[in-house]
Amino acid sequence: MWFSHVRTLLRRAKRFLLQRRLDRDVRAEMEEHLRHQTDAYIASGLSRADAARLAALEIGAIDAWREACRDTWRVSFLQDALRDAAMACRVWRREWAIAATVVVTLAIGVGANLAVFALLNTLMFLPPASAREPDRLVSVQEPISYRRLLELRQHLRQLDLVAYTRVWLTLTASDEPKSVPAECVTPSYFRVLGVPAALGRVFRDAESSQDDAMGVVVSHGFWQRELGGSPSAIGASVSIGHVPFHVVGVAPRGFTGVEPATTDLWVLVTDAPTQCSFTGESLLQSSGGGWLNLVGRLADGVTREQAEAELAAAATPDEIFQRAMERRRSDRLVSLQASRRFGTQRDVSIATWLFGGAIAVLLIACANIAGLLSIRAFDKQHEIAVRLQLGATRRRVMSQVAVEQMVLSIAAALAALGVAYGLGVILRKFFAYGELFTRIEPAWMVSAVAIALLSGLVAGAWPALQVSRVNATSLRRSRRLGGTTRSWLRSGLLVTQVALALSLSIGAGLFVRSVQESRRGLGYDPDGLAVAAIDLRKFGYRDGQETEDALDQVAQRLARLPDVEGVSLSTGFFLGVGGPAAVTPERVMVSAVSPGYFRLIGTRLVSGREFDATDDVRAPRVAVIDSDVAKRRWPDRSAVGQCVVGAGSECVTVVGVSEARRTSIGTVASQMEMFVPLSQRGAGTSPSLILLRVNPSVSLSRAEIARTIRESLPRLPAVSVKSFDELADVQTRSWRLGRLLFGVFGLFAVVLSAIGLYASLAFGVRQRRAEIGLRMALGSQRWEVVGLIARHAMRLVLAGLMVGGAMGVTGARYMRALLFHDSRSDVTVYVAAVAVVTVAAAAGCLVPAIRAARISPMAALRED
Amino acid sequence: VGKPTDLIQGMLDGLILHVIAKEPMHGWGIAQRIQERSKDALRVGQGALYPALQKLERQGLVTSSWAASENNRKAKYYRLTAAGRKVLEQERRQWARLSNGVALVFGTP
Repeated sequence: MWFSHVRTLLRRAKRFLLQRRLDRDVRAEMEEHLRHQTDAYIASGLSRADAARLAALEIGAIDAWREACRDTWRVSFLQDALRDAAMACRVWRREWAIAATVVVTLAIGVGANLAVFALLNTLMFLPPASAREPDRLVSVQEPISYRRLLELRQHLRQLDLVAYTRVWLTLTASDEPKSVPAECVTPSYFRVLGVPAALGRVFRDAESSQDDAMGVVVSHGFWQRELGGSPSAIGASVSIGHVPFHVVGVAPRGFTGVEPATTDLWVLVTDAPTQCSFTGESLLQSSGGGWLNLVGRLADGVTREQAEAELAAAATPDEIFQRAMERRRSDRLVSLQASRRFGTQRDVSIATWLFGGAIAVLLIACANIAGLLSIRAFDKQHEIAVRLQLGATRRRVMSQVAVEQMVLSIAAALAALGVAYGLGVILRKFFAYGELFTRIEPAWMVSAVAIALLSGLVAGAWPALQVSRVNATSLRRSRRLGGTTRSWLRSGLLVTQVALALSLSIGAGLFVRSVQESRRGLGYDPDGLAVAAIDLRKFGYRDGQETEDALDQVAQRLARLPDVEGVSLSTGFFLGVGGPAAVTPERVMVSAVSPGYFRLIGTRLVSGREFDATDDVRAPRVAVIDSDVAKRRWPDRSAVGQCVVGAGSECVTVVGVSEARRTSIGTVASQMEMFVPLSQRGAGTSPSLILLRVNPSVSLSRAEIARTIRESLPRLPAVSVKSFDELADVQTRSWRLGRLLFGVFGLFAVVLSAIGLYASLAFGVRQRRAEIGLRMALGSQRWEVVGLIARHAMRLVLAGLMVGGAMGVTGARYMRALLFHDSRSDVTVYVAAVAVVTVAAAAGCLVPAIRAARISPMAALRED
Repeated sequence: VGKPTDLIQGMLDGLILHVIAKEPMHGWGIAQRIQERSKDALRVGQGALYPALQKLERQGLVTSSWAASENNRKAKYYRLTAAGRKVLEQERRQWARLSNGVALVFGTP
């Protein structure tokens, strides 16, 4: 019995493999039959020609026959699919314009979704790369001291704690020292995170610093970039702050430390106590304030609540954990994933909105494709009717249509990976951490194909339905008059496209506005402003004439650099960099600044004057206060000439009032500030900032500036020079992210809807050619024809604008917290978005309308 | 004489097997032979004949080979196999039973 099965199977296999030859065989047999039949008719007395005709008539469509023969072999399904695919490729090669439009459109829609999904994935769900069982990792929400950590570790049984602190370490091997981001960690750091070494080893629990050189673990990126990526890098020497370290291992690719930020080096906090400390002095023995961040792994079977209870029990009464307990806060331990998410909260929210944007782009793409394919289906009615009449089954025709769609979907999926990869490259500029689309993983390919096929199905269903309605027996005689399928569905698609395009444009506009507005009204001029932070005390510069001279020299040398327009020195803190700032009990921040400071940073003086060279140590003490302080202290009179009381109750005369400066680029709140001349500053403070005004049109030659500073202050290991934009980077990042992606999506959406409008109208004009010709023959003017075409289109656009406007305004209300200050209520954003979409839509309508006006009535009426 | 009747579905296989039982024949010949033998009562359309032949071949009841035909052209000849002969016997018995039955029914007023 089984034997016959095998035989059948073998025969089928042979049959399948030899299909082509067998097809020929069948055809030959048919022809043979035809000849026999012809001979028979001739024998019965017909002429040769009549006999041949009659025989041929009788035999009918050979193709249908052959199909029937082949169908008996039951392999036809797979074969049909393959043949359909080949056929589809040929069809699309012929109709390449439609194919390309569909593929590109779909690729954009799918690619946008993939990229945003990857972004959200990175922002929200990504545990530290390579960590074992990341859901068992917790973060302690308060920093502690090193001594306290050692004590706690003695007591804790349910939580394995390790500490880290983020620092910038200075590589001093070459002539150009450079700072790299690093984490100072305790020995069991890697073991507790469960991160193995990609090469060499990670730190051991009992790592001793008794060895001659101390160990450093480097990131995969650092190993590739700086150490040539060769295995011989293990054991290599790295000089950090003039102290030799040796490379013991390479962290796995993608591991960037506990926090979502780049980390290149890991050293033991005990090996580099001064470099790991934010004060520049070892804090290992200090039991004061906390400076180490804690991460722990829950012991097996232990819940977070149990570990929290143990932590609270181990804490001393005045300790943070205890205080937290009193406040009944239960967030002393949070999962590491949640903790990583904290710093990027706004990014996450914006990325969620962007996800909506990406889906909108995909919808527009689908609508567009549906429109295009339905137009194509209309054009193909004739062809399909012919095929049905020639004996093709309806199923075959439908499957052909489906396969054509699938071929495009798969092509689009591949292109989508390219689109997503491109967007990933741009996004990586914003987020230096994580593995944001650095390689195309199988999962992404699968999802790309799945989304593309699904979208193809959605977009192709309606056109396919149209195809299925074609009737074999009634070939459409003519579509000259009437036959305008002004379908509500097609109109609906166009309205949706315009609406979504408008709301995306509004989104883009809101973020553009946020970025712009955040730079306005700062109280200083951000363009071309650069700051170098110098930590003089940490590197052994004490107050005194020597330091003063060195600083003077720095200022003079910097001012001589070609693109530097001005230099000024300041103590304190500005734009998030610099040393600790002096703050009075009234929360006024006091900075000492060199003469010409206000002119340099572009802060306007409301009244009075700014410091000059005459305000030296021997001169009467003077100060500049900002307008907020002035208003508060002397609401009813001018502050200039008044006394503020300085140290030792002496009178410090206010010589000028400056405009208030905003605290940060992220808010409109301003910081109350007072300024004194650098030469009159109090003892124990030294300049911590060098402010430069550089020509904004040239790129900042930071290396040259850093070198110039180090020439005069050689003990500084490395100087980082940052432009305003770099310093504001973190604060404006989420807006720029929104601006970039909403901008890109908005552009896609606007262009796609314009194409959609164009295609739909062009089709309408083609359909109504005869009608238009008739109208013109009866006396219609060309402009009336343009109006006829444009009126319908513009009605759709208007509907779309109304829906989209409502969507945009509503969306903006929910997005308010994500935008800068009051950008939401900026009417220009909405007006501009409407204008952009309208212009694009008009452009899409114009060409078909003009084409309609050019129709020659004679030619149109004579057709068919 | 009315219009030649189309064959009852299912009977065709048996007729084909019977016709080629004596000697191998080509497709047109088979159709002709059935028509002649039935005195034009039965006519086999090409659209049914060739798929049926394909099916029989797939089932291993007939084999085919190309050979020179009576008027010296190449034609595809179908030959009964051992398995085909067995099936033919079954078909004959079945038809005898069926036609007997039908005759009995029609024979009784």
